Amino acid sequence: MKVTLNWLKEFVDIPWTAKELAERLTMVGLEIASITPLGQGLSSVVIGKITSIDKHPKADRLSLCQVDIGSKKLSIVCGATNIKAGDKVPIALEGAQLPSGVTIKKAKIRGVISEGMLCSQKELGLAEDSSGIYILDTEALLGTLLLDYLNLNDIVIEVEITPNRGDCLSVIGIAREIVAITGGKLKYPSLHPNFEEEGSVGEDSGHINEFITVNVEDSHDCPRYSARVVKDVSIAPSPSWLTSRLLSVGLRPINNVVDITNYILMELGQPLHAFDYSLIKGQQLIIRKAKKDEKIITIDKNKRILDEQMLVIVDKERPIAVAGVMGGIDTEVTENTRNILLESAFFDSISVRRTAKRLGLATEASYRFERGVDPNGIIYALERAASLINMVAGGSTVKGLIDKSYKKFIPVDIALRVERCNKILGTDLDAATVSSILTKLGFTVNKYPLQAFNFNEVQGTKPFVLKVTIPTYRGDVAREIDIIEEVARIYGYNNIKSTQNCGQSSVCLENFNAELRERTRSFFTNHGFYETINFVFTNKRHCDILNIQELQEKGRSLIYLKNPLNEKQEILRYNLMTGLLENVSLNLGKDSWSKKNFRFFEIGKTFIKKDDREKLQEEEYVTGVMMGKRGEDFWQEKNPQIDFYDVKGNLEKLLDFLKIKEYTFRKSSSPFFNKGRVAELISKEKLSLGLFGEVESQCLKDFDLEDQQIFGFCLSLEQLQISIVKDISFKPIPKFPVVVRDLAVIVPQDMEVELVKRIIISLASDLLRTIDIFDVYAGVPILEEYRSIGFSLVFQSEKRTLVSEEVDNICSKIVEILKNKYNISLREA
Amino acid sequence: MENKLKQLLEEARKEIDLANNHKRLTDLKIKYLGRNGELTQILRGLGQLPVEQRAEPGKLANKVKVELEGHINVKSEMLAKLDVISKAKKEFLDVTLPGRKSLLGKTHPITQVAKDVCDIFIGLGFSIAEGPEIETDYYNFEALNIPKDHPARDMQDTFYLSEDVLLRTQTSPVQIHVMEKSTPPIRIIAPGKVFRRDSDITHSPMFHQVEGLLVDEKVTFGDLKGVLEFFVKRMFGPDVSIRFRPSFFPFTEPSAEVDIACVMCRGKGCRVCSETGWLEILGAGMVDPEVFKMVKYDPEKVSGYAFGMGVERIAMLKYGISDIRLFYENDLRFLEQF
Repeated sequence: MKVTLNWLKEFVDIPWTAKELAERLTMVGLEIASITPLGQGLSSVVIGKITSIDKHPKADRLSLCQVDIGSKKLSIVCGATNIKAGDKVPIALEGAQLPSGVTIKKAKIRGVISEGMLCSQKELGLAEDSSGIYILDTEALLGTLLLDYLNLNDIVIEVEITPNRGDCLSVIGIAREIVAITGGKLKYPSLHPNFEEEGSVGEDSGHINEFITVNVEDSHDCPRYSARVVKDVSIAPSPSWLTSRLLSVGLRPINNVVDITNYILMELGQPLHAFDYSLIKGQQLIIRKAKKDEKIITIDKNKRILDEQMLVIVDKERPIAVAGVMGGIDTEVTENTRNILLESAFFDSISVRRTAKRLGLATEASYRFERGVDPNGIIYALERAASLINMVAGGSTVKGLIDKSYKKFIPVDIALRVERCNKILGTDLDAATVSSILTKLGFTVNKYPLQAFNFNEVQGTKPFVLKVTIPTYRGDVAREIDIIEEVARIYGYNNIKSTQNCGQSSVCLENFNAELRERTRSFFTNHGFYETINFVFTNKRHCDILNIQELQEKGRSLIYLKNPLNEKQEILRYNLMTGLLENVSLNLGKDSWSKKNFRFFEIGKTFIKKDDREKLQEEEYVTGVMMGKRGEDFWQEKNPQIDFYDVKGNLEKLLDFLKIKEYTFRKSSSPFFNKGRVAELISKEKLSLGLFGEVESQCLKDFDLEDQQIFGFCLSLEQLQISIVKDISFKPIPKFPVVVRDLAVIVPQDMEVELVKRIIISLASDLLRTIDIFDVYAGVPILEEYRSIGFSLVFQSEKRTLVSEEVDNICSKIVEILKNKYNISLREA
Repeated sequence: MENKLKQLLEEARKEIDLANNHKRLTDLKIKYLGRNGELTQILRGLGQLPVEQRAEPGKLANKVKVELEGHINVKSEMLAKLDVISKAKKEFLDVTLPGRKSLLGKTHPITQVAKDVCDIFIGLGFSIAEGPEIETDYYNFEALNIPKDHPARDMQDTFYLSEDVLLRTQTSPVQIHVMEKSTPPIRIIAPGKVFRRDSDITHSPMFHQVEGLLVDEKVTFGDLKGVLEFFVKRMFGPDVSIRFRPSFFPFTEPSAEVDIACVMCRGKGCRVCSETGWLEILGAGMVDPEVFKMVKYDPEKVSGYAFGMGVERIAMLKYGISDIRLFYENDLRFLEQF
């Protein structure tokens, strides 16, 4: 919200510069977003009077003006046509640097000397558009700085108001905060000198009751409604003091009556509305809920369709305002208006908020009602508005006012235990200090015996508490803790001593998931993978890879956002692979000279809806892709392209690193990987840990990667976590030497090595320590459709040195059974 | 006999000393100590002497043999050393050629910064806690004292999945999950992704926060200041100034925003800090009694503080990044820098 320094000074004495004020307000919780001096560039613009206008001797379209600026007379060439002798106008003197960027110099224009410039509002930066020279009021004093005349010698301060502080959405609210800091006194502007209490300005007679009846049918949403009638006003543009004030705080001047209502809105925070009284049908107002599909055209010229939740002001025939949000165009104040009805009301904040949300119509008024206005401030606002309207638009205020009040708005009493305050803040404040702070805030403080308080369920250790009475404009202060915050705020957060106390000792809990993530990250980065972070949002196109129908058959479906930012981000990702392929695609497009070796991984959640569960499922995965060569390019030798076994090897090492043992691999299928080139990783507990393989070709095409060969993997962190061996027990390092035997066997081409290996293990005695594959060969002299596999068997005993013959016997037994039972023969040497 | 041996020793020594390569040394070894070598011949000759006369020259001959062997070994080692030197003189190893590098990747800068933040608090005895990214209205708002139709809801524009289910807009719901499941003392730090319907150069629809919560008996606002001052000094350096100013969060009271002296201008005022000299980095406060009531804690018995910060914001300040979108493009030329 914007206020100006001078405006604030009408309410409170400020002993500081704008910058100091900004600093102080920030430190009590009113953050200052900006400080902007008004009228920059207008320091050499004064008010002058045109004494005569003659034609320019050498140019038909120009004229030569003689101008009196009090101290001297100037001769100025001008091209505008809206001026006449006697007009008072702004004169930019020699040396002036106008907001438009123009610098004024004494110069000859078509042979005639010009000693300055007559200015338009646009040239002065006062309006975005203007035709002709800015003609000022006739009473403007010659030679005065335009800045002073227009009250522009001022500074605009923009304050960010937190949602709890509706009371600060006004000049008076911010002034009250300044009083809380300085301890000074708040000055209320007096009403128009002629404005009598309950009376009228002019000699006009009559009473408001003869003009209007008001019926509040919904007193919950409209607990208080007040109104006055002002007769015989002259609608006209506002005087310059008023327009410049409104402009400086960002409001557009409209006409004198509407401008006053806006002025009061900014000054007192009370939204007002002025109806054209003559256009109200039947001399009556009813405040009630709208009927379904009732319609109103609001003053922004939009047709609004209302519903039963919305509060409206209606006359005898139709809605004439959406309560607390915006008035209707039918009863709008226009230049033809003579009599007005001025409304000042207190509407329920939730009702206004719902209505504004439903209509998609947020206004200065609704913003303030949502955050709470002072129910006891509405009459003062009404009176001040009526008085100011009489001042700027003439007319007379009719005697009497409507004040329909359905609730007593009594300031609440709250008990504050000073010891509780100190306990929360870590301070050592005494009751006197606390009372003094609260008094400065406008609260009333009394010492009270604890027993006298039974309304607050307060438990206290001291016999006395402070009874704090909260003014009705501070609706946000409703509990003891709210008062404690007020004390802290004004006492100053930076005056509260910092202490180092981390509470009672407690065991720092291990978080296994965090640890697993950490280790996984560490593994992959140490193996050349860069971590990426992608949005969890994805789109339809990227989901086409999935067979949606198959998904549905499995009872699963994708999760859509109800209000996505755009259609590219409308679905929650169901896997991380698409993001990673996007990362490869993006990087491949960059820097064509760079090496095209990419290894990326991401750890993150995937989202899916399972039909049998109400809750949407989140599953965390580590997913990665690799592409290009096995190592960085090196000048001495070239690295081969990576293949299936690079991914597999990385995963085997990962599992080892994570302490996952006895896992196995098996062929699998997945829409993300090419058929026949994908495997599943199975844990000891027969859980699927994840998949890896060669990324599917169509999938690559979707990411403009059709010529690339990319390998990828996705592992479930949850399943990995389950499979980790938690207790590792040490086995003594063997003391006796090993005996190694190599065994090459010929097996059918499509027989998996794992199978052969298991046969051998089952045949060998428990002396077999390890079994490794050192060679796989197909080709001459091996028969077609067969291949040779070389196993290296390591034997060792924990108890003794093995004898060579003993091992040879085991091996011959293996060879014999392989031959006889499995038809697997030894490869001839 | 004795003279013969002495003479042999003399000659052999001279020849060994003169030998200038391994081949010559080997030849000499054969010449004197070989199967038909000169010393061997002499030793063999001993056999012809009567037994009682053999002892004296026998001893001497052995002594000569040991001495010669030693001499040859010393010479051999010397020649080996010379070889190394002369080889090194001939060979040229270009130490400026690039080495054969093992592959190394890096974690994302957001991961790094979040870890830095968490590690500081883990050092203070905090534990990592987590919560779901899909939340209900209750955990994300209501339990945090943000009722429906409250203007505080305007502070965060929310992505909805259904009427009541949403993507969490803050990590604060983790506070509720943890308090529901355990009893004080509580000391947690919760990093994670959060989502708000907002996208421009400084706002991303997905970003990261780190949330902290401590609940115990007798926890004060002074303690909150102390722990955050410690954090700021560890994170941004011991000399950085810090200030606490009042603010509003529905789930804490009193609430504070924490500013540090601008890292760009050191507090003088610049574009980055909008001329204020300060940068906002944290929101914090004492847990509101309403929140305690929601999780059935007695606010008269326990008190606590909570704080939260944006990881991207800290990373942007730390590394001087002005466009938040860079974090999610994952351009290697960006990732490589951290």
